[in-house]
Amino acid sequence: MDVLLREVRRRADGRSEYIDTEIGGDVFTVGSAPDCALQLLGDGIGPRHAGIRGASLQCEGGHRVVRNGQSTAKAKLSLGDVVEIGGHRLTVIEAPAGFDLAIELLRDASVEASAYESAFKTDLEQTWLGRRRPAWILLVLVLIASFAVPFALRYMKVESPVGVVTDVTWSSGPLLPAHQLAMGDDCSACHVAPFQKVTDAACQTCHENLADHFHDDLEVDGAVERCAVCHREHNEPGTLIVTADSLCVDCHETAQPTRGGGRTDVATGFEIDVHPAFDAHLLKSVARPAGTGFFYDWRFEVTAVAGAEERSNLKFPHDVHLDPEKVQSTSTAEALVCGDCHQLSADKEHFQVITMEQHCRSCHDLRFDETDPERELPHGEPLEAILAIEGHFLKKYSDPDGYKAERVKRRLPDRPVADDRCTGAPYTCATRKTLTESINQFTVRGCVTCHAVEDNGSPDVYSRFQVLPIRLAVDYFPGARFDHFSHMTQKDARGDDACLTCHAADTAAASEALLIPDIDNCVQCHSGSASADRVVLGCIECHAYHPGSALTALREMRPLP
Amino acid sequence: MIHENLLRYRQSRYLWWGLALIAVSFAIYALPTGSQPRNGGTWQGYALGTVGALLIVWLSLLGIRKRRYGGAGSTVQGWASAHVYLGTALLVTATLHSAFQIGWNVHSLAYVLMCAVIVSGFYGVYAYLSNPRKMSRSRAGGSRESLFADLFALDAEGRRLAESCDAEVRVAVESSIARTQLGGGVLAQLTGRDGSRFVRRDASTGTTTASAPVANANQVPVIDFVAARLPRATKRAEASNLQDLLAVLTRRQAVLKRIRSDIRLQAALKIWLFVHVPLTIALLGALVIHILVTFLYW
Amino acid sequence: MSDAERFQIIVIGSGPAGLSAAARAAHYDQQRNASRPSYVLLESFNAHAKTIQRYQKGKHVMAEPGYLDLRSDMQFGEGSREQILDTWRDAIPAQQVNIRFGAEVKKVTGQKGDFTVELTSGERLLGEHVVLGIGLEGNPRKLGVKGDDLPNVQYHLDDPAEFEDETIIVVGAGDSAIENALALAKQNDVIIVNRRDEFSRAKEGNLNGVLAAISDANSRLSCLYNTQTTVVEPDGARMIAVMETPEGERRIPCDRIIGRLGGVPPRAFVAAAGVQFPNDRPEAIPELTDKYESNVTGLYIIGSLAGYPLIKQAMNQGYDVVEFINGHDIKPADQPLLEYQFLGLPFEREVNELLDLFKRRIPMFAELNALAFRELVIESTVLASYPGDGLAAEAVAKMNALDERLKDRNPRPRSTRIIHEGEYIYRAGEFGTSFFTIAAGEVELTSADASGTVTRLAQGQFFGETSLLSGRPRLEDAKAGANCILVETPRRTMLKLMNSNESVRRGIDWIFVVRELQRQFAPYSRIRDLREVADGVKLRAFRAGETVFKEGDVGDCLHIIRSGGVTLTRASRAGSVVVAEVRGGQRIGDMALMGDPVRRETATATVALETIEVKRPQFLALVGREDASIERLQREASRGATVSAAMAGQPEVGAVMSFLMDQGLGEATNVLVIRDDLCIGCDNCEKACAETHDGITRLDRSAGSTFGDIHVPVACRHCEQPHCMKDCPPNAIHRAADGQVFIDSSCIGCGNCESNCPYGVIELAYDAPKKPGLLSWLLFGRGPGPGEEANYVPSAAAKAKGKKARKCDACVGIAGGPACVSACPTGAARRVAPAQFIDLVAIER
Repeated sequence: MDVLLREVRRRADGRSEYIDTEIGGDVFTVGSAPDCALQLLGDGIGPRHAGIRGASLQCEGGHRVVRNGQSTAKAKLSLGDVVEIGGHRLTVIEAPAGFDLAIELLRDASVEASAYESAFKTDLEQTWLGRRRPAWILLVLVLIASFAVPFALRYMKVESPVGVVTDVTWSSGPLLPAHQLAMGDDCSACHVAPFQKVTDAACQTCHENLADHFHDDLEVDGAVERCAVCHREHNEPGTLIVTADSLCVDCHETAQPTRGGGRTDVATGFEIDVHPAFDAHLLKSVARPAGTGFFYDWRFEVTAVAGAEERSNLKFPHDVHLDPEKVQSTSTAEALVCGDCHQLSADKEHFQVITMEQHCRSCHDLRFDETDPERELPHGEPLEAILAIEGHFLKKYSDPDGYKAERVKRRLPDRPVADDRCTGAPYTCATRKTLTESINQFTVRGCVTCHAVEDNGSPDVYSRFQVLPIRLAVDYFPGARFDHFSHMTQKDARGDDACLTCHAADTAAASEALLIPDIDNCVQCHSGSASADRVVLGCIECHAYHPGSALTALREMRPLP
Repeated sequence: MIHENLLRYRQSRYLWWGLALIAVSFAIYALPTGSQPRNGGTWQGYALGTVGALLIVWLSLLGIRKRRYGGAGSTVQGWASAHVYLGTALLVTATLHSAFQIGWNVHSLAYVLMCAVIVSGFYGVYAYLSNPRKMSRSRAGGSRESLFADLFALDAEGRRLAESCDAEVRVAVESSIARTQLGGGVLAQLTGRDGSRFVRRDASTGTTTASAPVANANQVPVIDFVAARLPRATKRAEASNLQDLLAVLTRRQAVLKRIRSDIRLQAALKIWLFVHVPLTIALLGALVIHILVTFLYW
Repeated sequence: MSDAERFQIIVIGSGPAGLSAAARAAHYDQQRNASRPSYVLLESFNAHAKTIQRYQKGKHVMAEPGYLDLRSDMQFGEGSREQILDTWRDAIPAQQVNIRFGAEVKKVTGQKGDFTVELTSGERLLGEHVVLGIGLEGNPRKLGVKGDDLPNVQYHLDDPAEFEDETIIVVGAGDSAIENALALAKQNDVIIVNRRDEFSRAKEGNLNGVLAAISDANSRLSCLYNTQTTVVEPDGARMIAVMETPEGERRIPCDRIIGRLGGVPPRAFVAAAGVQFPNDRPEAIPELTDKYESNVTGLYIIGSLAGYPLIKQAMNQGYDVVEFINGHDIKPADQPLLEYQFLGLPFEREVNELLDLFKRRIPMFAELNALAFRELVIESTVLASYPGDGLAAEAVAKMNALDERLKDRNPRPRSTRIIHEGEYIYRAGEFGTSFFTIAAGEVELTSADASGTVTRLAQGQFFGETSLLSGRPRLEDAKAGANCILVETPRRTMLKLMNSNESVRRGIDWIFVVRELQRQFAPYSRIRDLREVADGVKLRAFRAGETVFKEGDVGDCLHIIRSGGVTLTRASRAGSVVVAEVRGGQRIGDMALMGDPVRRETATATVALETIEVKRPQFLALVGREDASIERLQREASRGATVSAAMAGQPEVGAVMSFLMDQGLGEATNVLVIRDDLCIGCDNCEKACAETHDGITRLDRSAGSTFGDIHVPVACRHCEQPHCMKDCPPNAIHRAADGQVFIDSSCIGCGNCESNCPYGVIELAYDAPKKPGLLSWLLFGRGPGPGEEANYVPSAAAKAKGKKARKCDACVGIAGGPACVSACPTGAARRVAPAQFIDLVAIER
C-alpha cells in the first residue's frame, strides 16, 4: 500500500509548513526503531509500536495507542481519526489519488530530544539477557536434575528409565571394587533409611558369619557401635579398613568388664608399660579314675608367659636334641636343626604337627627282642604292644627248633642264661617272658623314654600299664597373630639363630620349659609409635578385631574349673 | 587521596583477611587425620566445608546488602572489597575441602559452579577497575544523555540541510540518519559492530538500491557519497549547503563513534553480571543439595 | 464631581489582612446595626486576595506559624488555594463586607480625620482612617500603550494549558515572561518580545531554556529583540500588535497578549502618602508603632507590606488594627507566645515591661520600634543561664510544667531555654547562623585559632555575627556566664531586620569588622583600641566574576574575605592559571602592603563576594601595635606566596580547581564528587538517595558536569549562605550543626527555594507511592525495585498534600552518613569539604 505522510512543522514565525513523504511497503510500521516506516520517539513508544495495514491499525507487543481519546490496541481508521502515540499526533486525512492512506503527523518536539536514546537498544538490560529469570531457571534445573529426580526414583519407587540421573549422582566417591561389583549402583543396598547412618544389618546381609569382637564373656557391647566406624566406604583414596590404633584404644585404655567378673587388660599402645605382658593359653590334663585306670581330660589355662610350664606329658629335652655331641640326624649325621621337626604350616604362623613316625622313630625304635631285631612294637596302643610281645614269645617257645637255635647262640653276658631256657611247657615260658618283657618296655626302656607311664602293679598284665596321653597347644596366643615366616630372617640372625632369638631352645633342659617369648622380647625390635630404631606395630598388626579361627576353636574347649 | 578503589579500600584491609583465611584453611587441611585419607569426610573436611558454606552464603548476601540502604556501620564499598578478597580465598578453602577430588556428582557440581562464579567475578573486578576510566575518556566529559542530545540536534540539522539538496543526496542523508544503528543485540553491543545502512541512489548509473540499502559502516560511505557530490555542485548555494551538510555528517560520525564505544565499554562492564548472578543462585541451590544429600545418605 | 462618600475606615487591598480588617469593621457595624457601612474595602482586581488567586492551581496553603492562634472574623485554615479562596468568597456576602472590586487607588492624601483616597476612575473617597493591606506585589505594570486593556491582553497566566494553537505574544524579559512563554510554546505559537537585545534579568536555567527554544527551528517559540509595543488594535476576535522592531514597524496578528513587565512596587505609592522608610533598600519596611500606625497618623499598614508575609499574622493584624482604631487597647494575639518566652526568666515581670527593659538594655535595638522588636523576640529564643543549684532545677521544673501544658500544641510554641552557668552555647566548628544578644549577664568567647584569645562580653553586647554574615562555621567557643539572659535570633529574622533598620545593620557590620581585624591582626588587643582603625576600613561587595584586583596593578590595600570566595589567577603563556582559591575569613593581597606593591595575581570573585578592604594606613596602624602578631602575618603571607608559585607551576591542577569553582564549589561546604574513572554507572547512589528519602532521589548522577575524571553531579552543595534559605515563607529550611541544609515538614511547596537555587538541585514533587518489599522485587520482580520510580503516579492523598520541595539533606540524622557515599560499591562517590578540594586535584598530578 502507498501511504502519504504529511508532517506538519511550525516555523519560528508561527506559520506551519508541510513536508510530504511517500511511503511504500505493505505495512506502515510506527515505532521508535530507526527502520520503522515512521520513527517516533518518546516515553512508552516501543521499537515496533504499531502497524497500519489497509485502514486497520494493529498495536504490537502489548503497546497501545489513544484513538480519539480512547486507549486501544487495534482500531479501524476512518477519515478524521486522531491517533496519539506518546504525545505525537497522527490525523487521518483525505488521501489524494494514488494513495491508500494519508496521515498528517504532528510531532511533539519537546519529548524527542530527551527520548532520543530510547530509539536504540543501548543497554544490555534491554536485550534478552537477564538475571532473575536465568537464575530461576538454573536453580530449578539444578534442583530437579540433582535432587528431585534421584529422590523420586529412590523413594517413590519409580522405575528408573535408562539415561536418567539416579541417586548415583549423590555418591561422594567410588566404592570398594568388590562392593561395586556386588551391589553396583544400588545405593539403597546400604543406605536403607534417609538421614540414618548405614546400619550393621546392611553389612551383615552379606557378611553373615562374622565372629563378633564382643564374645559372650564380655559384658560391654555396643562400645564400637557400627561397622562403619572402622569400615569407611566412598573413602577414596583410602582403603576400606580404618587402621587407627585410636579405634581400639578408645575402649581399651580402660579395663572393660567381662562376664566372668574379670576385666580386660588395659592397652594403649605397644610398649612394656602400655601393653600387658603376654598371657599364654596352655593345655593341662586332668585325670579321673575310670575302670582300672584313669580318664584324662584336657582343659586350657591362661597364665603369664613368665614362669609358665607346659604340661604336655611328653619327655623332650630341647637342649639334648640340639646338642651336636649327643644327637645327630640319622640321615645326614649332622646335628639336628629346628626345621628337622618344626615345619611352618601354610598360615605362616603355626607349625605342622610333629609325629612319632615322622620325627622320632628314626632314632627311637621300638625293638624288644634282640634275637629278633626286625620285630618292633606297634606305637600308640599299649595293649596291642603287650599282645604283640605275648604272641612273639608263644610262637618262639612252641617252635621245636627255636630252642636249639637258642643253644648254639653265644650267650649274652647281661642276661642269666637260665632264663633263656624253657623248662616246662612253652605256654608257661611265654607268659612269664611276656610279663618280664612288658615291665621292661613300660618302665625300664622303650615307651617310658618319652612317655609317662602309670603302673598299677596288678597281676593282670593287660591292665597293669597306662601311657599318659600327650597334647600340645595349637596356638599359645589365639587372640594375636604372628608371622613366623617374616621373622625367620632377622637383622643379624638366619636359620636356627633366628628362631633362637625368641625361643631359647638350645638351653632348655626341662621338657616343661615353655619357649614362648614375652613382650620384652618383641619390643626390642617393635614399638607402638614411630621411632627410628624400631618397627612400628599398630594394634591390628597382631590383633584382629574379628576373632580368628584359633580363638573360636579354643572357645569350644572349657577353661579349667 | 579521597577516592580509593575497590582493592585499595582502607589500605586493602580485606586483602589481609583473605590471606588469613587462606592460611587458616591450609592449617586445618594440614592437621593430621590419623589413618584417614584427606577428604570432605574427615573432621578437617567438615570444618573447611562449614567455613566455605557460610562464606558462600555471606558472599551472596552482597546482592541484598547493596540494596539495603542507609545501613550504619558498613559501607557497600567495604562489603564489595571484602566480597572480592574473601571470594578469592573461598576458592582455596573449598578446594581444600574437596581435597582435590572431582567426580560426576552433585558435590563436584557445587564446586564447579562455585569456581565459575568466582572466575566470572575475577573478570568483573578487572572490568570494574579498567572500563570506567576508558568510558570517561571516550565520553570526554559529556554524558550519554548529552551525546544523544547532540546526535538528535545533528540529525535534525542534517535533515534540514538535506531538504534543500537534490533528491539523491536527500534520500542518502535521510536514509543514513533513519537507518543509523547504535547498540542493538547482545553481540552488537559487545562488539560495537556498526550495522548502519543507507539508500544509495546514483543518477549517473541510474541504479537505485532503495530495496536493499548498502552498508554504511561508521558513516564513511555516506560521507564519501556526499563529498563526491561537492565538485559537481553547480550553484554556489548548493555547494555551500553541501559543505555544511558534510560538516554535520562528519560531526555526527564523531558523536556516533563516541556513543558506540561507550555502549561497547558499558556492555563489557556489565556482561559478567548476567553470568555471575544466575550462577550464584544455582550455586546456592547446589550447595543446599550438597549438604542435604551428605546427610540424606549418611 | 459630587461630594465624596465618607467612611470611618477605608481599607485598601482585599488580601488576608484587608479582608480580616473589613470583616472586623463589618462586625462592629452589625453590632450597632448601622444603616450604611462605616467602612469600605477597596480592591483593584476583579476578585479578592489577588496574590493568592495567582498561586498555581490546587496549591496547598499552610497555616503558618502553627503555634500562633488565628484571631479574625474570617475563617482560615490550611488547605488548597481553592478551598481558602472559596471560604472567603462566601464569607464576604455572608458577613456583609462592603467591598468594591476594580477600584484601583491612585493616591492617598491627608491624615487622621480627613484622608482623601483617589481612585484611577477619578472617584474620591473620604475617610478618617486608612488601612493599607496592599501587600508587596503591587499591581502589574501595564503595557502602557493604547489598547493595553483589551479583553485578551492579560498580565498574569493561571494555566498555560488553557490555550491551544493560538498565536500569543509575551511581552517582557524576566523569568516570569520566559517561563510563561516556554510553557505556552508547547501548543501555541509564541513570540516573546524583549525591549533589550538580551535576557539579562533571567535566571540561568530560564536563560538557557529560552535561547535554546529560540534557536531551535522546530520549536514554536520565536523572539523579537530590541522591540517595543507601540499600539494594540482589535481585529475581530483577534488583535494586531504593532511592534517597533530594529527592522522597522511590524504588525503581528495574534490571539492573545500577555504582559509580564513586573509589578509596580507599592513603595512609591506608600511613600506618596507620606509614609517614611528607614532607608532606600527595596526590602525596607516602613517604620510603624506597636499599633501598626505609620508616621502618618491614622494611616495603618498591615500584612506583608508591614513585614508580615504569613497569612495568619496578616489576618490577626487586620482584626487588631480595627480594634485599635475603635480605641480598644487589646493585647495582640501573640501575647501568650511572649509569655512562654519569658516564663523561664529568674524574675517575673509583665511582658511589655520586659520587652521594654531588653530594648533599653541592648543599645543596638534601642531605636528599634516596639513592633519590630516584639516581632524579633517572638521569632527568637530566650536563653536564661542559672548557677548549677536549686534555682536551675526549679526553673527547669517550671518549663517542664509549661511543656506539659502545651504538649498537644503542634508545633509547640517556643519557650525559655534553661542553660547552666558555664555551659557552652555553641562550640567552634559548629554550623550555626543564629545571632545572640546579651540582655543580662556575661558571655565568654574563646577563639579556636592559635591565639586562643578570650573575650568577655557584657550586657548589651552581641556575638555570633561572623557566622551570621559569612555563613561559615563558628570560629569560637561561647560559654554562658552567671545568670545571663540571651536572645537568640534566627538568621532570617536578623537579615530582615538589617534590611529594614540601618542602625542595626551598621552596628553589626561594625562589630564584624572589628572582630575580624582583631582576629586577623591583633588577637590580644581590646575592641575599643581598634575603634578608629575599624572606622577607617571599608566594606566592599563584588558580583560573581567581578575582578577585585588585577595582576600588575599597584596595590594599596588588602582584602579580608567576609563572605563568598575568590579565585587567584596568574597570567602565563598557557593563558591564566589558577593559583589559589581563597574563602571566607582569609586575606588576599597582603603582599602588596608587606613587600612589593605590584599585584602578582588577579583576584576574581568566584561567587558573590563581600570583603573588608584594609588600606595601607589602617594596615600600618594595625601592624604598628605592640601586640600585633606581625610575624604570623609574614609567615602566612610567605606561605601563600609559595603555594601560589607552586600552583602556577601546575596549570593542570589549577584547571581542575577552576573547574570546581565554576561548579559553585567556591561557596560549598559539602559537595558530592564522583570519580568517573571509578564510577560504573550503577546509579546505586541515586537509588540509595531515593530509598532513604521516601522514594524520591535528590541527586542526578549522570547530569552535572565533568572535568577530567572528576564529575560533579547535580546535588546540593550545602552552600555557606544557602540561596534556598533566602526566601522560605514558613522558614522550613534549616542548617544542622554539622552544616547539612535541609527542609523540614513545614514546607508549603511554594517553590521559592527551587527557583532560588542556582544549581537546580531542588525539585518539587508529590510523595512517591509505597513500594513492595525488597525481597519480593529481588525474587519475583514485583514492584519497580529500588530507586525512584520513573514517572510514578502519586496517590490521591499525596496529590491532596501537594508538591513539596525536595533537596539533599546530606542524610542528616541517618547513621552511617550520606547514603549515596555509603552505597557506592566502587568508592567513586565521595562527599568533599572545601579543605579537601586540594586533595581532589592532587590526584590529578
